[in-house]
Amino acid sequence: MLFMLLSQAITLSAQETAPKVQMAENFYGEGKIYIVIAVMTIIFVGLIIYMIRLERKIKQLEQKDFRN
Amino acid sequence: MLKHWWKALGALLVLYGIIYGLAMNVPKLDILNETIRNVFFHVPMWFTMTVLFVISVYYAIMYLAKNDLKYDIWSSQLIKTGLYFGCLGMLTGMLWARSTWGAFWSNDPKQVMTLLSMLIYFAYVVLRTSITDLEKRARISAVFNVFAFALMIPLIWILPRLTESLHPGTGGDNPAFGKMAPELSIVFRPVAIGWILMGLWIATLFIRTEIIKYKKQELL
Repeated sequence: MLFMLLSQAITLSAQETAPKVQMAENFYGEGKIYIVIAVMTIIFVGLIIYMIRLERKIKQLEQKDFRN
Repeated sequence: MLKHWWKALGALLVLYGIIYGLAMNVPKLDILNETIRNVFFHVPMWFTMTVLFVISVYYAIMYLAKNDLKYDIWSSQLIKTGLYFGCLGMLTGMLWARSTWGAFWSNDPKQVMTLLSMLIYFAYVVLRTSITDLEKRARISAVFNVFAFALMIPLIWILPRLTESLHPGTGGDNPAFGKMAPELSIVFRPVAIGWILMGLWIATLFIRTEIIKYKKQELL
């Protein structure tokens, strides 16, 4: 039942006649979504920097000879 | 620097998913509302898990053919990373289901079968810890891996599509390559590739750490 509703909504033709679907229009209209995007970008870039640093450390360990 | 290009590509594609996936205009879908943006995050978790498991079973077969412990390390660490992504997919999916299907868990065929195949892979991890002999552990793991994989593909990717399911993609439709609205799928595909590359990157960190551990204990 739910799936039928869903697949109907996905077809573009159904979209034109579909009743008004509630969207976060104010959130987008006031531009505040960009704050969320900026926060997520900072966190993601921070994690990537962490991973690059971690990989460098692993590389250093790989070059070290443990059999000494 | 040149051999790291795919990691940068993966990070950029995921970043594109975060920025454009949230900023773009999405189709107004009943029930889903703004949560349709979750396809850029929830679905790639499963794609990544599956890709990691596919590569893992390849190395399992390589181990059985060549008897080199390195293949066992690659295979097992790929499964561990894949399970991480599976857990993330499960948690995000349950949260998404709460707001769209009304409950965290509705015993949907895809939910049940995915949980089942994840439990099989968890059994793989538990099985490994219970065997101390390295050669024996590697061989049993590799055989178990092949069987787990042979169950995972029908359980997650085939059987749920043949039955009634809350998930999209029943009745032979592939939601990723057919039924998804074109303005979504054009963003979804590169973002999914980005997540897969991120998963591979994380897996390589797991593998390299494990190899260092083996070398330190003079096992390799």
